[in-house]
Amino acid sequence: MDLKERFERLKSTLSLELAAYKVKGIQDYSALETTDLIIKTQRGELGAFEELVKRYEKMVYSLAFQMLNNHDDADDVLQDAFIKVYKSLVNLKNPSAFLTWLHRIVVNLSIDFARKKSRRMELRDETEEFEEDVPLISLWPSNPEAAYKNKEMMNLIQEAVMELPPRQRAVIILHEVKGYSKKEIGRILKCPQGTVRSNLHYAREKLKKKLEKFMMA
Amino acid sequence: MLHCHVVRAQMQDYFDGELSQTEKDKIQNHLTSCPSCHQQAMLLKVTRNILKHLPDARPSMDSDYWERAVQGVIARLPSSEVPA
Repeated sequence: MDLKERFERLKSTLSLELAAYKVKGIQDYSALETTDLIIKTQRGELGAFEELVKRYEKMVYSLAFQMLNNHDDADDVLQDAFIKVYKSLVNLKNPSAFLTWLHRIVVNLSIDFARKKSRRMELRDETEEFEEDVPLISLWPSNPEAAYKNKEMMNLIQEAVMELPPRQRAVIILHEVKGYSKKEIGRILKCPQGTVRSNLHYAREKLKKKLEKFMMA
Repeated sequence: MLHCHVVRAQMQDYFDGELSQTEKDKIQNHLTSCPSCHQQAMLLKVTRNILKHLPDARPSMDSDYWERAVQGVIARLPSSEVPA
C-alpha cells in the first residue's frame, strides 16, 4: 500500500468517525421513553425537558381548560406547570410516577387559579321536593326538538361543573370526563379515596339537582 | 323493603358498581316499586351519561400555538439554572 492509498484510507476512517460523532451529538429525544427523558432532564439536558413539554403540553392544557374554561388561564397554567416540573423534577424519585405527579401539579395550579379569580358562584340551596315524575329524554335523540333539548342539558351540566367548588370540579372532571378511578384520583390529589368518593358524591348530587330543576321548568 | 333514604344514600355506589349483589338486588327491587327513587336514579344516570359525553370544550389550537408554548416555557427557565 503506497503512501497516497494509506492517506485516503485514513481520511475515510476519520470521516466516518466524525460523522458518527455528529450523530451522537445531536440527540433525537423524541425517540426516548418518558422515564429516560425525566432522568436526562434531572441531569440537566434541556433538550430532554423540551421533549417532555412537547409530549405533555396538550394533556396539560386540556385538563387546565376543563378546570378553568378559559384559554388565557389554561395557557398560564400550562406555562407555570412546566416551570414547576423543571424546578422540582429532581425531587421525583420514581420516574414512573411522573404522570400522576404532573396531573397533581396541573390540578393544584388550576384550583389556585379558580380560587384567586373567584369565578365560583355560590350554589343556591335547593331543598324543594319533587312529587311528580319528570320526563326523561334520550341522550341519542331521533328528532330535532329532542336534540335541541339535549344540547341545552349538555350546556347546563357544563356550566354547572364550572360552578362547583374547585376540588369537587377536579374530582368530577378527572373521574367522569377523563375516566380516572377513585384510587388514581386519590393519588393525584394526595387524599384518601374516601375523600374522593365524598367529593364525587356531593358534586354529582349538585349536578343532578340542576338537571332536575331544568327538567321541571 | 328498604327505606327511601337508605336507597338515596346508596344510589351512587349502586351505579359505581360498589355494592354486593345482595345490596344491588335490594336497591333494584326498591327502584321498581318506588317512582320517586326511580326518578332520582334516572336523573343520576342521565347526569353521569351527560358528563361522560361532554364534548371536549378545548379550543383547537394550531401547531404554532404548541410550538410557542414550548418556547415560552423554555424562555422562562432561568438561564443558569439546572434542575437542582
